[in-house]
Amino acid sequence: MKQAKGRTGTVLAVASIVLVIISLGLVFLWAPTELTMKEVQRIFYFHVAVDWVGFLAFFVTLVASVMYLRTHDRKWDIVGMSSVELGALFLTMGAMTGSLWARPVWNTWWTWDARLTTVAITWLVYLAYLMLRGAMDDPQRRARFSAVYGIVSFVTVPLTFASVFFLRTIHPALFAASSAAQGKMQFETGLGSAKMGMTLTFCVVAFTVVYVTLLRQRIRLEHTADRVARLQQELVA
Amino acid sequence: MSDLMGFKNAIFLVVAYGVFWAGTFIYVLTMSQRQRNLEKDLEALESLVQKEK
Repeated sequence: MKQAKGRTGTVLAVASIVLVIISLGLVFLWAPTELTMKEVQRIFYFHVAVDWVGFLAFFVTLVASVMYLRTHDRKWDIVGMSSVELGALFLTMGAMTGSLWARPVWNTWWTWDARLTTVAITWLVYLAYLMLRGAMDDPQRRARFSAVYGIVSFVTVPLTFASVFFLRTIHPALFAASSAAQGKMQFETGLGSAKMGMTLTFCVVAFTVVYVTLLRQRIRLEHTADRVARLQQELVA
Repeated sequence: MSDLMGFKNAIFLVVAYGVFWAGTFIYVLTMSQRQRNLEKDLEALESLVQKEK
């Protein structure tokens, strides 16, 4: 059983590395150059992918939180916390890559438009989750509080998605046909646009595999910490 | 002029990808280090528990 788990981890790790390398090849060698933003637009592929993973991670926390409240099984608390950590990491990278894209395109590092503001709120809400966990000593209370917080804080995620469709924003709305979203990218027609779409889809899949790999490792780390704590208690007793 | 702008913008592209690689690398390294330390502690504690028994 242990060997099978180790093999799965290795396979996932190798798959992650291979998929990310292929993504890089697609981004820099296959995807066409965007008409107005030129080369800097290539940030978009990784920027969208890491943001997607960030929000996926928070959804996993939502599910794990519900499961914890139903079962009170520590494993769900571990999954929820680990996923928030990864989500916060990926959202941070998403914000940084977005900022690096914004500077040459919008001539500013940051602007308080609807999409960016809601992303900032999401980021702060989940950072607070991690900080509040760190401040609680009692494991059961911490797990219960985290589960409730993990459910309530997820409301920021659909708000972030919806902000582009319902509010005026200069952030590109990738899937919106609405003219409310300004600053849309100039996609080429036909094959060029299809290549961009396929590259983006591949990057999203690759980063999802990376997330799963890292999540497994993080959960394993937490289980090891639990075993250490249990043995320490056994020795003290 | 447009060549200069292209070059300047390419720097943003390089830094953006650098952010991703640096972030992921640092996180993986930190996790590996913590895992190694915990496994060392686990080994030590398990041998102590065995001795007590």
